[in-house]
Amino acid sequence: MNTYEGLFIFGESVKDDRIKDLGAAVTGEIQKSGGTVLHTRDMGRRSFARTMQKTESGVYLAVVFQVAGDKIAALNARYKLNDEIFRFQIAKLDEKFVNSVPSTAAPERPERSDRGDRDRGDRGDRYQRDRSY
Amino acid sequence: MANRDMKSSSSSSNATVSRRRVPGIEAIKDIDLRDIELLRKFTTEQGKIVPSRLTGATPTQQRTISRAIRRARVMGLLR
Repeated sequence: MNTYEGLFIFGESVKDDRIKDLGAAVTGEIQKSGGTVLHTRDMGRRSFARTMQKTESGVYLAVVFQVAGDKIAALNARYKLNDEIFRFQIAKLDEKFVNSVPSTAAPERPERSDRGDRDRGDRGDRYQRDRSY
Repeated sequence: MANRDMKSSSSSSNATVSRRRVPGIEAIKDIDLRDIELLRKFTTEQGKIVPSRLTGATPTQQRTISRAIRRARVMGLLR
């Protein structure tokens, strides 16, 4: 049994109430293959660092699991058939990180409009100074 | 010819300079490379991977870092 980390992206059109079901479907496939799920972390809806297939955002789910190495190809084939999974990646996980929860789940910074206005203080005589040119 | 002499003399002077590796990221073996904020420190503003001669990473560390960055790019976590 090897330890793997799977990172799944669900399409941006997926509704929030469907995410739990999709997560259960992902972990269900692992269990069907005789594997065990160690950690699951919902990373929420994140915007991509760049546009991928004309899509700007997706819902991320990280799963750490143990499964026999020869089952990975079959798992990959089954996840490929799922249309709601936009993209996924399964990578072997270093043994020292087995007990750690996937840390790619760093919270995304709120949008600029949600962060509130900051007080920028007095701007001095800049306006007057610029007018003099 | 003179130019070649200059080149050879400069390369010989460079050979005398010790190329001691700065252990800038000694603790990386304990750092989780799934940490996107950490990986971002090894990329430039344009998203290019910073070479090990600038970060001080050992060849093994550099391979680990660049592999993690390339994986993160595929998953849309990094540029």
